[in-house]
Amino acid sequence: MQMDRKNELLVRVYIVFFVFVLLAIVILSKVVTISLFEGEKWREKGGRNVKWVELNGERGNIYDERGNLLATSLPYFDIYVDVMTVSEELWNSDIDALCASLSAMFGNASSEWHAKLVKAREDKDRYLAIAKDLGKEDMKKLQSFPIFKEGRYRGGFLYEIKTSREKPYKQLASRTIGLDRSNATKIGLEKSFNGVLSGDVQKRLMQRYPGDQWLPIYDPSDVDQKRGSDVVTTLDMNYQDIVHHELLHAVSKYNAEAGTAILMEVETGAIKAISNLGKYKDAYVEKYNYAIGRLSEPGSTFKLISALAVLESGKVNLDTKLDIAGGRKKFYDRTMYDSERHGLQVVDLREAFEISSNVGLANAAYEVYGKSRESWLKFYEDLKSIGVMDETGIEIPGEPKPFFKNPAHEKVTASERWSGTTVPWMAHGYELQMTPLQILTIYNAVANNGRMMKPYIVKEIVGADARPKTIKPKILKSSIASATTIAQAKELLEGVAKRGTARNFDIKNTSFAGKTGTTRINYWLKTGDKQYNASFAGYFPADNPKYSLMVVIYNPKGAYYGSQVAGPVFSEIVERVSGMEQRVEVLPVEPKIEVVKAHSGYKGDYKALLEFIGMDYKNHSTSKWVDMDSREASVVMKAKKISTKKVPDVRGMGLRDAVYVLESLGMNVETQGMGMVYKQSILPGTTIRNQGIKIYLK
Amino acid sequence: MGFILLLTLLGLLYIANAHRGERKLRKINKLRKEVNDAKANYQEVKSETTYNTTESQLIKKLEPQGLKMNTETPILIKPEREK
Repeated sequence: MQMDRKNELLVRVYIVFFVFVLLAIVILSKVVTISLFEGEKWREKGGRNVKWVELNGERGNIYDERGNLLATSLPYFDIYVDVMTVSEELWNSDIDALCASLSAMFGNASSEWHAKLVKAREDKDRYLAIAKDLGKEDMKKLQSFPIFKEGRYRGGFLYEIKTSREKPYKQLASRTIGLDRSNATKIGLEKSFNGVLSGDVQKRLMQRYPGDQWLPIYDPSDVDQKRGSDVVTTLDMNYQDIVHHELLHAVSKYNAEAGTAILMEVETGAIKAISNLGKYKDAYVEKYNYAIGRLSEPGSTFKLISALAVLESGKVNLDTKLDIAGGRKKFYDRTMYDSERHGLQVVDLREAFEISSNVGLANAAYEVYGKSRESWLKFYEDLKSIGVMDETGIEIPGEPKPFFKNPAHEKVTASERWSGTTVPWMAHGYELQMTPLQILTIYNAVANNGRMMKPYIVKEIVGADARPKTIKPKILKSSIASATTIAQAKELLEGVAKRGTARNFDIKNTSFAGKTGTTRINYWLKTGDKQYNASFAGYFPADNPKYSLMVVIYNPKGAYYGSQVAGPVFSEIVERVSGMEQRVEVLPVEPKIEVVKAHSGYKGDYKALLEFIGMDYKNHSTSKWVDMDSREASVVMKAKKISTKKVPDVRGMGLRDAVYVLESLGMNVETQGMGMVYKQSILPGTTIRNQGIKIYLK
Repeated sequence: MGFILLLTLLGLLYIANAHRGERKLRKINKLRKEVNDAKANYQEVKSETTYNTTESQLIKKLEPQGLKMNTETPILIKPEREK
């Protein structure tokens, strides 16, 4: 009996056990089949719902000083259509309307579009390009067209998004702002600040959710990538606009090869505007950064630097007489000419500088530095200590080092070898090469009383989540020459503006100082056209310089003097820029008009009025006529004494009250004006004798 | 029995919550897209207006109407301060 029950129990346990084992085998075998035999298929299916995506954080913007956008990333759309998706019915009813809309938007004839679309349908083209590089606005418009408005699945409307860099100001400073492109090297600020501007790039595993949305698998809430930082420049687009268009006017007028203009703030070295226009086909565009990248012989604008050197030596001053031999002199085997015929024999250094005499400056430098190898070395060292031999270190890539010959180097090529004629030729800006910006940096230093500021163009980096990083002006050299020398140099530059080659510049509202430059660029050729670069460097206002400005026009045709070609650009810019700075005029204020402060009148009226408007007041009066006093925190009523013997003070009363009071005293009232009484013909307190009184109201 | 009911309830809550979360994410995604669209729109329009309002463009556009640049410096009038 007991045994039976035990056996029965055992059998039941075995049955349950067997069932479980069977289940386990089934599951296991299914696992094996899925992973081994069908694995490929399922994994491929699963893969479609998960993918690696490279997420780019948005690139930062570039701004000008006033917060105007200089460069930003905008989405662009390429539009395609899958004509096969469109149903026969929709196609037949709306195709004409669609073609008409397309024709209105893109200009081609409606029939042309019709033919194109019909052909695509015949060819079973599922990806017919409609338009490329459309902006957001146009894209929206396109999305509202017949057929297209049905969307992707019914209307066959397809698009691809691209991001591209947009410069709202187009050509203005565009070479300096730069280019961000994937198929070629970046340039300008886009290059040098690429690390700051770029957003984070991250690879993320994304999963497909119903409705064709992709979300990161591990942390779906964190899809925002870190955006790049914004770069704020020192450029001022108001000034940039002026500089650009004045330069454009000049290069076009003289059919020049190119031109550049740089406007710099004297105190800080901040670049306010920078234009570079090169000829491209028949137009002038920002195609190369001449200001920063092009080395050339500066010519006469360098005379400021040779003057600094000779003055600093102490052997020459502004009144030192120089023999300029009618503007033609032989140094060793080479003859030097002044660019303008003047016939002068002996002038002082001041005049030589003002008329831009090559021979004059060459002579001065030759006397101080030209006669021995030791003095050549001294010349080299003195120029070096002025700071002309180093790069300025501007943030834009591509700045070359200035080219100077070194008398200590003997085993060099002919073009780098120092010779007897080097000192006189360097003195007027040949046998050496600098960029326009490097020259301007020296002029800026002179304007800034000898302190040489590093030119800079980026003043702030604003990150998404960090504190803005401000970039401060940097001093390159606290003093490029002694205070006396700087003062003399300024006097020379002012002299050029007053009496010299720039005396004809017509600039209203401000004063300026500067130096012209007319540089032969192909002097080694014995024949053919003479070619020149025309330039002008200077600063304004002369007495308290705020901005320095350099203009260079490369190879102008028809005219070539610096004063004639670059000068007008300089003076127009100076005039317009200084015109933007407000003049302050102080006006004397007229003496304050005395107004009657006290109101007087019938107490009952005032009470009713004050209660009506709900204003607090204090009543200190027991008589029925009051003076209102509002000088305290609340309005106070003070008793007004009206005597029957004396003329009362009716000033501050209205017409009705004044007339009532006076007439009840038996006086004859004459009135003039309207409003409140401000004057009465008989002074208050006078004894009343049957007389008339006149009151004046306003 | 009560325990099983509790587990079922918790399970239901868990599933509902997951669904709610997903719906929110989808909405966030949609709104983000809208924000980006609006931003792009704004920048496109803004960049056009900035260019059109530069001095040189205005001069060009107003010339046919006979308007010209004022060459006079603007004057800022400052009253003398009262003593």
